[in-house]
Amino acid sequence: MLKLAGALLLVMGCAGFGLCMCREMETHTAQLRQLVRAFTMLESEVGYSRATLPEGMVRVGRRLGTELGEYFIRMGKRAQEQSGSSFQTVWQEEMPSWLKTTCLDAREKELLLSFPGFTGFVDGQMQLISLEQFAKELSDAQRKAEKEAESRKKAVLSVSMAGGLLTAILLI
Amino acid sequence: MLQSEDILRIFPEEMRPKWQKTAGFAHKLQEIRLRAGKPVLLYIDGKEYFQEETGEAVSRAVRPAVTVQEDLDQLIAYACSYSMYAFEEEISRGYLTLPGGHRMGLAGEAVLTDADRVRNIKHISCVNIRISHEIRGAADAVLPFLYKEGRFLNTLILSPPGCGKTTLLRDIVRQVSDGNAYGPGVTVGIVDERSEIAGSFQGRTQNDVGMRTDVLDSCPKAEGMMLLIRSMSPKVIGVDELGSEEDIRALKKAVCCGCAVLATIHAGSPEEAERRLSLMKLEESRIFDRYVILARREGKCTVEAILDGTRMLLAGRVPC
Repeated sequence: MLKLAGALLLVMGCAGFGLCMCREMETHTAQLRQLVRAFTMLESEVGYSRATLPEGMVRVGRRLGTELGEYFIRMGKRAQEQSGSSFQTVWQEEMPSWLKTTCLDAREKELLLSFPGFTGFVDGQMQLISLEQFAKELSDAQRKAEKEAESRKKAVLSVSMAGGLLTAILLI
Repeated sequence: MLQSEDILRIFPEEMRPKWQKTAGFAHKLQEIRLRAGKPVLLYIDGKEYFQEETGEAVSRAVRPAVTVQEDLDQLIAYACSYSMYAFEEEISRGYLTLPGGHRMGLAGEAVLTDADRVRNIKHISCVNIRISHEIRGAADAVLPFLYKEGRFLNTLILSPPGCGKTTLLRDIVRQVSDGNAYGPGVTVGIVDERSEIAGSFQGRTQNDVGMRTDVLDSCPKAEGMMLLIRSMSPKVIGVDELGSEEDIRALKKAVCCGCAVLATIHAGSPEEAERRLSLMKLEESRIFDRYVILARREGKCTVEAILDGTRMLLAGRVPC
């Protein structure tokens, strides 16, 4: 009886581990989706309202209303307060602390940290194109993550459950 | 009074240590001239000074600080909040308004449209930072002459450049708007074509122009006056630097609509003022009830004369 309970717990534990991995994949894609949404909104702030980047970030942040939104507001306000810091400095100082809380991979984190390189154009049209390109790169990453998650989710769940069963059989 | 921090805020962090000493002259500083590859020139209390490498202002430079192009690029990017695209229009007009109401004049290589109009300025190599000095009470001495039975009279301020006409206009607007000993506070509309009166930065006025004042920023004067009359129904309309017949036509319309007008005009001397007024055909229409003539004497701005609508002298030299 005790052995059976132990085996059951083992299988459940392994399945739980698999579920956790699946949830992480979902969070990853959700975070990428949120980033795509944020940068698309920033694109429209720049394109239609001709807002400055700090101004646009504060507005987008308010609309997002998430933790990322709070970071956007904080960065926008810091860049607006004429403290002397460049937009790049503010971005590089604030963004890593949000990135620490995310499930983004190294390549995606690197892309996000490179955002100031996509700014600084004198021509509004060029700036818009550059922002579109950035949003597109994020959107590509999101699509890739979604595809990966879809194909890996079932596999992860099955392997983790099968692993649990096998270990249980071996132990019994 | 302007503080050194207000001056330092104009510059990005990396440049601030160099400007620390110059910022100490904040209350007297009028202009900062930066030209790529040339010494930094400062205009303090009407006199020209060089900036030394140490940041000090000296009349004869031993080791003058020289502006490098990278500094200019960085300064302009910072002034635009690293969003130069958002200031395309201002740059094409040749200036940026800074927080605090200061102005950054720009010169470089003009990029033209097909219709030969300036679309943008590239390779900006000359920058002129004009420091805005808001002087509360600058209008105290002239105000008694600008009212009749509690009603503000149509007033024109005539002055050569640098004699404080915008400063005087701003303080009159503030006092008319807030109310003063000669009349109650009334709604004032300002058409601030070059963002010099209210010093609006991203839609917010940086100078105190009174609690009943509506500001229409960066709008051509003639169009702006009509727009304000339609939308905000001001009792007094204030505009800076009348220049064209179109402005005068709009001014006349404003008067016909029952608004009192307050305006300024560039005039190097009373004779020039006379000539410009007759050119603009102000004579026959007799829009103005008061003329305030400004000048600079011994480095100080003075009101040379206040005339009534028939050009009779009401008051002589008044310090302001």
